[in-house]
Amino acid sequence: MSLNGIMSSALSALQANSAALRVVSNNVANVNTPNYARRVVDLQTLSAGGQLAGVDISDIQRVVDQYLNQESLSAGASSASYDAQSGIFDQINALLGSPGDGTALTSQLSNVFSALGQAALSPTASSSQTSVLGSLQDLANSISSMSSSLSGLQQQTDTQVATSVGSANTLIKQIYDLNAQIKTETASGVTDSALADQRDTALQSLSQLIDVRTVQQADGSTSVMTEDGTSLVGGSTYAQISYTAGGSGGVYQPVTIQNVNGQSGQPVGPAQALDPHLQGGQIEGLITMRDGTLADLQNELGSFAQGVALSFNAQHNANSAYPPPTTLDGRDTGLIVGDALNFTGKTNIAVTDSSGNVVSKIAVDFTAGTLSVDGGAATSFTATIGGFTEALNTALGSNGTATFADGKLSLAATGSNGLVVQDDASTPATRGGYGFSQFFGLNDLFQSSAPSVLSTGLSASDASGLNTGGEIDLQLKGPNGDIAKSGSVTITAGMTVGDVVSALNTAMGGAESFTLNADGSITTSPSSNYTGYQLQVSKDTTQRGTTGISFSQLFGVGANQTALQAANFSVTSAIAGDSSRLAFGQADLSASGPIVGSDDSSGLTALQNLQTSRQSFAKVGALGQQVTSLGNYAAALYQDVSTRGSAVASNKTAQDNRLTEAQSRQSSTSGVSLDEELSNMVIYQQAYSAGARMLNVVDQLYTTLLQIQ
Amino acid sequence: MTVDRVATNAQSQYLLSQIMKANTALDTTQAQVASGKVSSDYVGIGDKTASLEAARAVAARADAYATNTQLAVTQTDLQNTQLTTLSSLAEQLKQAISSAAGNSDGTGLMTTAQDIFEQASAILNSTDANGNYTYGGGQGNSKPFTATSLSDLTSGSVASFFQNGSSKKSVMVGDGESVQIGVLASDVGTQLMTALQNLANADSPSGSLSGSLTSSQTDDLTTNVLPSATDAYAGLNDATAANGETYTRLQDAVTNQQSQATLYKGFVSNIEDADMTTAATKLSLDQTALQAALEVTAKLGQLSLLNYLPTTTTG
Repeated sequence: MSLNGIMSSALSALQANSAALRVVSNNVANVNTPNYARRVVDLQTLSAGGQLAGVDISDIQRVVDQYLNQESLSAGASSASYDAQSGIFDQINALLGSPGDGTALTSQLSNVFSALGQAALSPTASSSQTSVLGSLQDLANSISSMSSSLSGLQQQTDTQVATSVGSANTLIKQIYDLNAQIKTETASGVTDSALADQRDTALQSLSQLIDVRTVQQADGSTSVMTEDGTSLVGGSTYAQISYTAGGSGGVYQPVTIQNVNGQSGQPVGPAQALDPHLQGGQIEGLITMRDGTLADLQNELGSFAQGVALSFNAQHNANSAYPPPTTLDGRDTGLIVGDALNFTGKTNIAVTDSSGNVVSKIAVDFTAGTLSVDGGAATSFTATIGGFTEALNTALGSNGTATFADGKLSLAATGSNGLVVQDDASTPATRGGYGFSQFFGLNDLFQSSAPSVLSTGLSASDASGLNTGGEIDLQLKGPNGDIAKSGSVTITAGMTVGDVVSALNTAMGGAESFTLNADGSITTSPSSNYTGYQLQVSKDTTQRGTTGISFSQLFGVGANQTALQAANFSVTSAIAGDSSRLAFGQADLSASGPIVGSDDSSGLTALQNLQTSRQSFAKVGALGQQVTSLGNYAAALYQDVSTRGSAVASNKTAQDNRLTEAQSRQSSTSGVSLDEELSNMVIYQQAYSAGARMLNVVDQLYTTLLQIQ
Repeated sequence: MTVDRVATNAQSQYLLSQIMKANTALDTTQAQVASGKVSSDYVGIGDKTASLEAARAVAARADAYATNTQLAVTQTDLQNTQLTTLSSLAEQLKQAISSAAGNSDGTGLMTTAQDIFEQASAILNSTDANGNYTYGGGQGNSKPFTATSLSDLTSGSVASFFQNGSSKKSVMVGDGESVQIGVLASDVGTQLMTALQNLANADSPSGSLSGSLTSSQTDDLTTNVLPSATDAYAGLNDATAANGETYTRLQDAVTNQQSQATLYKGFVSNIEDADMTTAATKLSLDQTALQAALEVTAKLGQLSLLNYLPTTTTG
């Protein structure tokens, strides 16, 4: 071996070890860089013609474990999903308040009954009436403000979905671009590209939004797909996700995904809904809250509001205020003048003076189609809404007027006279199961955005009354956000109610069935193949005449309609503006003196009984069909929130722990250990020193050699 | 056995996360100790929420029943005083008539009767704090008894002077349990007024009941007037007794509802109030855990190979 050979071996040691020290120094520099995978140096012998000729660096490796990476991505997605849900729950909790702070619906309801109880001994004292009215308004405000907060939260969540979709698109494109650059570098032999760290960072960020799975390709690129296999980044394509925020009436469109060609930017293949493919990540968490918890809670609240409205209105319409009110303005029933009357039974409409003495009494017999004034001869009337109103107006004569416009029946007494409406005790007037006064909402206590009475009393052969050209769009949405079936019905001239129902059945092709019940309500149910699917009305431009009431509002069709029962829930304006209109008495039409007593509290006692009387509630959200008191239903609603909330909280903890564990396992493989790097530094430093000493020795050998003379 | 590598950054992150967890746990326990409540939101109550809210509603309801029934007790108490007075008025009337008949001396009889009439009609037309007629039977704005003087009674039937309504006021003293406390002027006044009417009729202008009485006058008093006064006295005693029973029933209901409220408030407290012993012990444990996490972090921060390597290496 020549001295030159020794020198070049020593030189290779200097080069190899300084290169190794550079790797150590990079590792140390990146000790705190997120997603940095440490590099290790592979040394190999350098040979020349089969002879050892020093040392060389064969490879610098990024130390990564694909399985640990995948687990970390997966755990990250699950954790992010629950994180998003838990963030929204924090807001729901804030709006529900603390247990025992008196703001709960259950407490507000207790306050109403407590105020009624206090008023029992002096029902007409203005202090009693003001405090009852105050407690009723507090209850109504709680319901409507909770409803608007929940719907605001739902919209905010929806906006977040759109924002997250935007971020996901940026990350997907970034990963696709990094893939292309890494491919080029790999082809030229670079195995420890810094771009791979950037790609890992992008993947980690993407997994926060969408659950992802990666497959490492031989060319250095990484294919990315959702956990169920929907491609996000392929070899030559990448996906673009699109979503337009802002549903209408609680109905939201799906998030769609479209593959595009990486070179040309042109779409490849059809766009498809992404919602059913998401199993984790922030977007899935947000959608779950928006379409699940938030929608359910709004519907449960709506169902409670409807129960409150129906029970209080029923009793309040049966009661009479003292002095009897001069005007009774009904709710918007959605009915039009030409609609069949469809009432049976008897009712009485009395005009009284301001002390409650009868001025005139009109007995209406709907079954016979006649009415009689002050016990006079029965005269018959046309059995339509318009025909009856006209006959009633005539019968009132100079004592008052009856008008029907835009779906509302209005009665007014002349001068300071008042009105008392009371159904016959033995054969009460009814339409769709509701009494005369309640059906028209003449003396309603509560009102909201949607009619609480959904039994319309319409029969299949009745004209639909819907304006021609109106359109109803329906979709059947699955629990995972997939749309199983959608359909549309356009109203044509001359359609009966039965025709519209048949058209709806046809449009949905058997996936959802619509049944018109005897009381004029519509029941909808999905076929057995679509259990758990919800019928949503995505658009409804139909209208009954000039009432402003659409088909879906009239019958409460669509999963989101129930929520509207709580929207703008309030005490009716007539009562809110005049607490003496609170009806605490019960008229005695056969009395010789005043038919309504100024100090009569029998109607108030009947209202108090609502505290324990049981109402029936349909299945809504997580609350099953039940017959229970209003208070218990409200308590069940709070129970549902807290059960869901604690489930999310415990899932969040579990997934956070899973993520911490995955990250700790991942970092124990890929992370930089300072102690390890420092000891490597010592080793390479010593090897470098030894190599340098070798050069020194060779130098001395040459000097010795040259000194030979 | 293999020893896992420990990445430096991951280790500090882990330690920091442990400190945060210990902090959060301490925070929760501190809040429990400070507020005395298990949780400040419904999620913290979990699956006991429905029971909590239902129990709270029952407690509030029982409280309301107790308060309102107490108001009714006051009213019944007032009625009791008035009915007792009416009853003693009837007794006075009875005695006045019987002594007039016994002594055949009508001196002062009609004056006494007029006096009794005035006192009785004042009671029948008495009003409550809100100005409503107590015995009005739902008609709070108009006088239930309209005769203004004893002589008025002779001008029509007794019933025609009673203009009260028929609805007796009642109060809910428990779920679905209402007690009728209202008393109608016609129920308690008819008999007394009938007796007075009989007396007024006996005092006809042809033979007024003053000075010494004729035998036909004393007979008339004994056979026609006295029995109706006796009936009035007996009837009013019955009415007072019935009112007294109502009073007792209401007071029982108050006691009953108060104890029910206490019972349910106990349920509420069991669910929502923190157990102070447990909370205080946990507070101390959580403090120790945080202290330990901080100490370990501080100690590990000092441990590094860097401290043991010379800054210059001499090869």
